[in-house]
Amino acid sequence: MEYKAESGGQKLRPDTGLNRKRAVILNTTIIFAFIAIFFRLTDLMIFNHKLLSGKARMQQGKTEDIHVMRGNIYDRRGREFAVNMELESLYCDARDVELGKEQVQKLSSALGMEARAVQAKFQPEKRFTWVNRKLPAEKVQKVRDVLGMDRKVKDPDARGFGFVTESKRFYPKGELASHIIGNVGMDNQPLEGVELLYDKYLKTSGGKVYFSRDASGKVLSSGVEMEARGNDIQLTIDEGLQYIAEKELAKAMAKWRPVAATAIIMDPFTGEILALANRPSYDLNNLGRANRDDVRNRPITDIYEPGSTFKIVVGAAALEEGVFNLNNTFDCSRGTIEVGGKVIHDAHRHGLLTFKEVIQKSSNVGSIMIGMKLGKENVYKYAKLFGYGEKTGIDLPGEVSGWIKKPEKWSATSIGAIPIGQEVAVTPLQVLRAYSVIANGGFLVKPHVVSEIKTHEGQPVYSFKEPEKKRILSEKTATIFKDILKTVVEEGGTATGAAVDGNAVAGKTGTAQLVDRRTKRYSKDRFISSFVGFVPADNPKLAMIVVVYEPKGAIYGGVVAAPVFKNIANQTLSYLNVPRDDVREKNLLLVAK
Amino acid sequence: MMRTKADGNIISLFYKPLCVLLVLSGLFSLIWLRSSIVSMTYSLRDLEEKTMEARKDMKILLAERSSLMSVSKVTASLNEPSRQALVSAAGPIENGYVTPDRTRVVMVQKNRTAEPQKASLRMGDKR
Repeated sequence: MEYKAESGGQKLRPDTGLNRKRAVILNTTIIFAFIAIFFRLTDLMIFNHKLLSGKARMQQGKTEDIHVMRGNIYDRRGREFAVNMELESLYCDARDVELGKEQVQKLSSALGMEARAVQAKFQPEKRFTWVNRKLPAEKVQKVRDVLGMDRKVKDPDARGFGFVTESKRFYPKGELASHIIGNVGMDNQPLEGVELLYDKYLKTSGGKVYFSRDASGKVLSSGVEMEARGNDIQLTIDEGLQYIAEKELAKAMAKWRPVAATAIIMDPFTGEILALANRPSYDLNNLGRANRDDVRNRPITDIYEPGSTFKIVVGAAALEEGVFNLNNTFDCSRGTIEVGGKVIHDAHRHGLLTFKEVIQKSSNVGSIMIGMKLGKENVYKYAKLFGYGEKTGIDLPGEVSGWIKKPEKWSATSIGAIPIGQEVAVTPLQVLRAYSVIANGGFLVKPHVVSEIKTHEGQPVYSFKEPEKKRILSEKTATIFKDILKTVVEEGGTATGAAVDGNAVAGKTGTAQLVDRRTKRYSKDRFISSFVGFVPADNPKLAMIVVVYEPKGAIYGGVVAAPVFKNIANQTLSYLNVPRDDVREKNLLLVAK
Repeated sequence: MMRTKADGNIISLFYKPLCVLLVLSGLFSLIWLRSSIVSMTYSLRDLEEKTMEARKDMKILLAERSSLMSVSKVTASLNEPSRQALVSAAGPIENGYVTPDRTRVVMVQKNRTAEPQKASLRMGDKR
């Protein structure tokens, strides 16, 4: 018989059947409890594994988008033209929003929107709606105050609202160079200019990062860089020169009240565009105010009949082909010439003109005589050589090619029109490129606005490679023609108003009639005045074209466009520290070893 | 020499608590390590948030700076009457834009050898 100790005493009592029963019950209970736990665990870990692990992931994790930013755009001296800012956007889950009328009113005034517009955002079927995007910091604070988002105990008004940080493109120079830089939309999608054409370099992909978070919802570090930035672009544009060009165009707009005006400054040797200005223009940070005319990049998208600026084609071709030389004279005393039954006039009667004087005085009669002797095949050939009728290849979107008819399609009057810049459609950039040929000694350059693309860390990604130089004129012809173009700006020429103090200018005026859409004839009061040239003439630092569309009060390129050229050139030469031509004789020494 | 039962008892007397102590300290060090990592991750996240905020502010300030430094803004500033006298002393002003005097530009030819460049005004020049 077994004995057990009794509590508080030494006596042992015998182990009865009752105790054994208790032990069995206890054991059974424990076993069943373990079996129950086993089944529950099986249910949780095997049958409901997917559902529960998904729930756990949602509670313990959070996914965030990496902030993606476009690369910056700089001018040639590293001054910012386009940068990024990070601003807050307000969204709402309309199902959770419980705002009264008064609160909606307060919210709308904080956002600077109409109450109706804010109310319209709360559509119950939508889980996510933008209320207002990319808000400035002060507006964000106002909204936070109205909705009570910063209070320790969240205000019920804040329910359903939230902020998301978004990248916003900002253009520090506003209106300056707007037609080159272009712009992006609300979702940073490219719309115009360099932003559009170089989008693949500027944008970058981001991706998502998974964060762990604790029971209170606090996020733990993932150790991942949360910002991705595209490549930076360096332009050939110089902010200072761009400003000078735009300022002078604005003055011309005020003086001549034209429909529009354009100026391009280019390095005639490399094709680098130093400035490309348009009026009217628009503020890149305020696109809503711009109309269709404001955003037109006229130097490359608008074609016009160049008028007398086209005369270098026949002039240079005649010299190059040896058809005429500087000693030849032309009888322009009648002041008219009849071609194919059409009479073409000179602006004034000139009398007997030398070859040089035909260009200097911009004689239509003399130019047509040269063109007729040259023949239509040669005129066409040289027009194409100078780059007319095809795109210059500038790295900006929307360039048009212009047009020039093939010789077989010329009418009887074409030979009287094309040599003086009619029946031809060109862009201002094409004209400037053609004059750069004379400036640089006979080469056709490729205009461009982007010089280099680098990663944010400074690693080069792309740099402009100058294509193999294509000579289209002999150096001799280019030099002779340069001297002829110098006389245009001298006393007796048509563009004395373009003369720059201290440096010789070579260039040509153009006064083109516009076609009246109603009568289909040349208009008598709508003109395009232009001046294209380069300076200093003997060692050109810049080539420039100024085009003024439909000026009021005066029409001639020498009166309207040439003074604008002069003003821009004067300041540009100072800006670039280009010495005067007479610097050697005046007071300074060139000292070398 | 023979080991007695008493010797074995003494060893086990120290050995067992030592093992328990080792296991416990190992356990605690693991927990300590884990909690340190977690608290460091919290600190890192705080720093990351501060960095992001600072970056955000920096971007806004840089944008404002480049906007203020634009030529048009500088020119507008130069046109203020209080600054006219100061600017006049710096050089000629054309519509508020300061341009250097081109007659005073010195051209220096490049030396082929790496020697100091020399430049001077002609003797007797009175400027």
